[in-house]
Amino acid sequence: MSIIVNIDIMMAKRKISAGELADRIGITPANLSILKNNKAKAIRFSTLEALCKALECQPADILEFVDD
Amino acid sequence: MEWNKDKSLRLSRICVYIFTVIMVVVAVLAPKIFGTLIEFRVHYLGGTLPYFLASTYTACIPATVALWGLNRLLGNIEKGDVFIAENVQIMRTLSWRCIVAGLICLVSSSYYMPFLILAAAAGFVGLILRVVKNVFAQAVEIKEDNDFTI
Repeated sequence: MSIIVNIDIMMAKRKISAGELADRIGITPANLSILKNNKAKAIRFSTLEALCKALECQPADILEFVDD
Repeated sequence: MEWNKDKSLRLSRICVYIFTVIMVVVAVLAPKIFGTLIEFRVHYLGGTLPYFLASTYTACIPATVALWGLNRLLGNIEKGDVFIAENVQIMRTLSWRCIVAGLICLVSSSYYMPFLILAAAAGFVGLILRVVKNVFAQAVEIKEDNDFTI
């Protein structure tokens, strides 16, 4: 996987639980888990926007490109 | 009476069961059915009873597998599991069973020409099922993409 989702790091920085974050951005905890575990195939702009808003960060703080 | 998806599925299931019963009855009565047919057309079908029975019982094998597959497919659809890899596999099996049945009919047409019509029909159904299977396989991929888009 070339794109890594670093939600865990931002969640720890903002001291926010998975359940609370899922609730704030309006997705199910199961879907948040898919994102956190890098199982997602795509992310909607609306989800990314909600994540950035909830975690007070930029998309680059959440997404990272790693050359395999 | 209002027609809906559940009733349609139930009807399909009933049809599968009816077809299974018909197949079993035909298999049991095959010697009698073909014996009678040969009696009427004895001038050119005389001595072909063993061939008719061999064709019937050989065709029963793919037919049984196909009916079992249809039953499983309907069961999965009832559970709400429509676009899953298992259904694609079932459709692939169904398609191949139809083609095998068509080949059996094709070979059987060597002693009874009307089997050629059945061979063409079975082959065509097999081809249609193969195309539907390809569509299903694509749909499974799209569903997976959709399920993993957050």
